[in-house]
Amino acid sequence: MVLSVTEKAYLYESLSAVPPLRPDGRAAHQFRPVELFTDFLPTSNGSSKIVASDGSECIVSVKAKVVDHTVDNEFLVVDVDIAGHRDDSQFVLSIGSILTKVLTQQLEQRGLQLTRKYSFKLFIDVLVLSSYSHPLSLISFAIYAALNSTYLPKLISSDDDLDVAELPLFHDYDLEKLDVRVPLLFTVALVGNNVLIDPASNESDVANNGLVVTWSNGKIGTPIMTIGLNDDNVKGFGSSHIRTTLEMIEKCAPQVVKALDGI
Amino acid sequence: MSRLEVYSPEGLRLDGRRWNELRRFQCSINTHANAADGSSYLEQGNNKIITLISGPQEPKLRSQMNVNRATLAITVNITKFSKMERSKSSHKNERRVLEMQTSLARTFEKNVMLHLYPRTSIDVQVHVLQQDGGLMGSLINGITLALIDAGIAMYDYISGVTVGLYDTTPLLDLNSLEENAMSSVTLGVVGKSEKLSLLLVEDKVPLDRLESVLAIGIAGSHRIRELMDEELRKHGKKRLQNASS
Amino acid sequence: MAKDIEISTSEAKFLVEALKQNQRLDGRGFDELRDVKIELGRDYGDVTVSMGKTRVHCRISCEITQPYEDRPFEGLFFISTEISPMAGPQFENGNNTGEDEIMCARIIEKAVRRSGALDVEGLCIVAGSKCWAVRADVHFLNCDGGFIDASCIAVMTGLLHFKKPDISVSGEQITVHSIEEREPVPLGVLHIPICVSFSFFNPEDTEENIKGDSNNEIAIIDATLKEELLRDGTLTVTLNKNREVVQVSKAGGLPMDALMLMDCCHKAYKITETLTEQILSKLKEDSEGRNKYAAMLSSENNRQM
Repeated sequence: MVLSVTEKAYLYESLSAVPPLRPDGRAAHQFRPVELFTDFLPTSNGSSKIVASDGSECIVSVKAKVVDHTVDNEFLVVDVDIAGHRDDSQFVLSIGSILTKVLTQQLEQRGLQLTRKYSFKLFIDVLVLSSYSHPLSLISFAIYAALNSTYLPKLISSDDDLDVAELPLFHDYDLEKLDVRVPLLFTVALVGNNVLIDPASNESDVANNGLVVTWSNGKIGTPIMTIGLNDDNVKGFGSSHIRTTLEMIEKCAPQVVKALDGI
Repeated sequence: MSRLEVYSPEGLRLDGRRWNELRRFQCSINTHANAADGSSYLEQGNNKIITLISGPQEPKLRSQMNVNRATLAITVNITKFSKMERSKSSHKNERRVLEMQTSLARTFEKNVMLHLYPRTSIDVQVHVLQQDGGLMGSLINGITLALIDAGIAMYDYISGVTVGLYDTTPLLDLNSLEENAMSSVTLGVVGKSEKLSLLLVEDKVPLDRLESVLAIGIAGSHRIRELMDEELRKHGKKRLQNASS
Repeated sequence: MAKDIEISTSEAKFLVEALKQNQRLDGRGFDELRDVKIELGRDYGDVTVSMGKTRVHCRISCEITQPYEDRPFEGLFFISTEISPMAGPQFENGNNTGEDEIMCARIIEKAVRRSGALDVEGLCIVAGSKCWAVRADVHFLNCDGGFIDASCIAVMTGLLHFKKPDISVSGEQITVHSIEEREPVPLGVLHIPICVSFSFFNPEDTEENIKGDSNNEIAIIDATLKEELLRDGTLTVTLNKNREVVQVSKAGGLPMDALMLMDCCHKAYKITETLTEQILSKLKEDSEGRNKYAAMLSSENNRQM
């Protein structure tokens, strides 16, 4: 969306007012509605589709493969594809690397280990069909839902194969739910002295800065970092911004987790 | 896969269909109303395809502008997870995919009234979430539906289907197991006519059998056209009711 | 394409108007092929094919490499069809992503490589570790339409003409014998696919083409560059003389009646027969020229005479 200078100034003023006046009437800590579907791709172990109210849409597929983890110690691959952006563009690569880093750090590898030699390797493919605001938070919700609806084949052979070398055997049809705690990423926009969660595209356009906060295991985790939401309004921010952001996330995140788990 | 199982002597195929039966065909339009000007979601057997159309709109580059007619660009995105086994490479820039894009663009260029939208571009994005044979046909159907949803003027429907030839029996609407076991013919049929906009034969077919293969293909395409038409009319009725109430 | 060739409106109108009156600019009939000239070079697998002003050169070469891991019993076969600006100003160097270039490369690939015209299993030397890699490099020397047809003839004649050096295997050790030392071995060619391209023109308006029953569309064989640039649609049929359709590509373009397309296929078959004959007789003539004394030295008796 292209805003004129006057529109931007008006928007900036209203967003930095106390309390902030957001164009869609939301409170500072309020999300836009999203629709979420899971388990619609039979050829993947887990899948989800999330649609935001502005038409942003993201599809995630989780596929698992048995690998020898003594040879291949990468247990997770995240691949991001955003329609309209080249695969080697800075934007796509940075989102991919943030997700890889967060998930590799926070996911417990133990849940994937099958035997002392073999474990599952997860391939998380993210396809963003359309995005208007920064898609990171939306992607992370989708990954959360996809991993929590992932079912993997049930192991029936023994889990100690160091003495007798054998390939793991699986039950013909029984599946086990993947038990992992998935981190969530929240994006907030900083406008004036205010912190706004889930910024829409017009709000992102006038934001002074953006922050990404990780939420894992029921508390705020690392990394916490800045992201550029636009190119021309960027300013620095103070410690009070960070404090407000963290307080806000601590209040909102449990509700989001509850909502996502309710699916 | 032994060749014997593909078509049993009783006349049943791997998935229980007879020779002249289509796969389950489900479609809906206007699925991504907020994200695109026209959209469709198509399930043909296990093929799952999302088509998004934006346009007619101002072209991003001036060089893409044609003063006499609209420029039609089609991008096919075959996702890495679309098959049972995840593919390592993204399929963009593969010659096979580039060929598909060119064939699709050339198919629709003759059928869309591009001269009504000079100096604009119509961008079609197709995302293949899952594929199970007969992809080209499904892509054609998905794009036809999305173009209609976008309200872009067309002369007629184009419906596509893949037909295989097993020994002497033509088999309609192949899945991927069948596609790998026999030679296949893909057709793109214009409306209720017997005119072919697209015809691709990928593997050896005896010249004298080609006619029977085309006949069943055209019949299958006409059936798909009917199914698409039914869905569109249902959708139109619903929209009309919502508008009047 | 780097620079599109543009045809003036009056020229375009003239050509289409002439077609409507059953005339082509070069005086050929609609179903008439330009004369195909095949020249064989001194080396094995060196072929130049010309059709009118179109000239295509093909060179076959081979080397010993490792087979693909998933296909240990098969040799390798590549066809390279890069069009350089030598053929015409509309082609760009090193950029083969133009629509026509892609279609040309894919059709040749499907017609020759994927149809199994070359017996790749015969190229295996030691399973899993050594095999022959055969390369066909197609060079487009001059463009006046019909690249696909000409290059298919060139590649197939090249493969039939080519001879790879003889080898002897003892265990893992391979000796390659030079041509002077031992008679080289021809490649195993399983069938000869021939491509025939049709170009379609619509003499009436689009509506009549799509809705009407007149089926007045004009189909011409072996279009020149000018006709190619003005055509509304194209169809490339690949057949061999066993009456097998190897490949058909009608990638969009003018919608055509199915029966008319079948008719095109039958016409193409006749052309396939004559072209196959021509290739084989040319090859025979060449091999007789190479072995002038074979007949004289032969111990075969002239029984019938």
